[in-house]
Amino acid sequence: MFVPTTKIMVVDDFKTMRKIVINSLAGLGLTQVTESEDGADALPVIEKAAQDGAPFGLIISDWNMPKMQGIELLKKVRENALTKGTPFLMVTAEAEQKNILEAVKLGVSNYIVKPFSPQIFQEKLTSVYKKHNP
Amino acid sequence: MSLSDKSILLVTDDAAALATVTSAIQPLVKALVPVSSGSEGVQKLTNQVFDAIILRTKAPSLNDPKQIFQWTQLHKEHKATPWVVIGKDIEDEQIVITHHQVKFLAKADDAPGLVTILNGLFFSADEGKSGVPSVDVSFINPLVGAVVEVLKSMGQVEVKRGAPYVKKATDASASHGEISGIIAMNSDRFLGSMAICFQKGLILKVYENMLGTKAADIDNDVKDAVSEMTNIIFGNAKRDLNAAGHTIAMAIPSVVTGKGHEIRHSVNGHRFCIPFESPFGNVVVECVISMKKG
Repeated sequence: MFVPTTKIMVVDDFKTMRKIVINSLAGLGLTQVTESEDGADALPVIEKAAQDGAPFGLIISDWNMPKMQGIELLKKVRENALTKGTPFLMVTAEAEQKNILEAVKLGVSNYIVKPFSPQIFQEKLTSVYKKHNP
Repeated sequence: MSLSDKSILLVTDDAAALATVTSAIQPLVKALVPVSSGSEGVQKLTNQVFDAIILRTKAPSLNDPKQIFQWTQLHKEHKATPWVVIGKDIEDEQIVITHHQVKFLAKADDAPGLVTILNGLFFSADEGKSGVPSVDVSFINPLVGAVVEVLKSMGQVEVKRGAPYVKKATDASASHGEISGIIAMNSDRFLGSMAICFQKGLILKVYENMLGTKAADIDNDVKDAVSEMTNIIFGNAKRDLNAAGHTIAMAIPSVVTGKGHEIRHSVNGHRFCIPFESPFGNVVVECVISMKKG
């Protein structure tokens, strides 16, 4: 499982969902969290952290956001050589199969459909960790 | 408007259709009685009144489905029984198309389509008896399911659904609660919107359970929570509706607050309401849907 020092970026335009995710992470001992309201705000922070040699170890992003959607953020992260291997968990209310397939094609580590329980959240995080640390 | 009190007669000798219909319908209804011929169907009908008859017409050895139809037309307790005909080859037969309650399902393996037809059939019939305009329950059910699930899993509050109704014109625009999330529901076949109207006691309890902190009153954080819940309820319902063939587009919710605040829908029409009760207060889902012409 992710260690407590893991830097985590949480991206969601709704403060409520950011709080729920951050509370769930805290329950797992993960407190090194940076928040962003949108993919467009998160991307430069993620890229700069990688350039500075202190990359994020996990990105948890909403799908549907106004300026840059989560799927676009995922694409940009995977295109950048410095960030392409970052574990990426998509959190979405858009649970249609075509959406999921699109995210899988772009290399999402896993996805979680809102609403979710803390147990499901932990299971998904564990799955993401194992995928990147086989 | 529930399928759980309905008894269905299934007439088919097609093993694949029998398996599909049985797996799709049996868990939902009170009784599903399969028979393999028209004459066997008539035998069942002499002993029992069914709420609907499902008929698979492509089966080559089916012993004259007309026999069942003609028999039901001679017996008044069976005359109005709705039919669901799987396969369109019987559509041209005049005896069936003159029957007022026949729905057609093109493909035998379209289990979701069959459930949708049955829901629509019984919902329309039940609501018609009470004078309420009929609304396709296949459209409403995903919304109901999403409301119950989101409030339970995120808010840890179990709600009980009440009887749906149409708002009276005199109080049409006033909200049922102190805070409402509103979101457009548009597809290539219809335009509309949905409002989720919370009473204050309920939303404050849901907020506390979701985030682990109390809100003394409806503030910006509570508004954000209602907006996100509206988003999630919409997203879940949209997934199910689009899986059933709709093409509902993504949308961004808005939030309105204040006692008796006005709910402005994106189209004019009957305001169809589904109330839910909880120990902490009520929530009402209010929808207006207008089918596109042409």
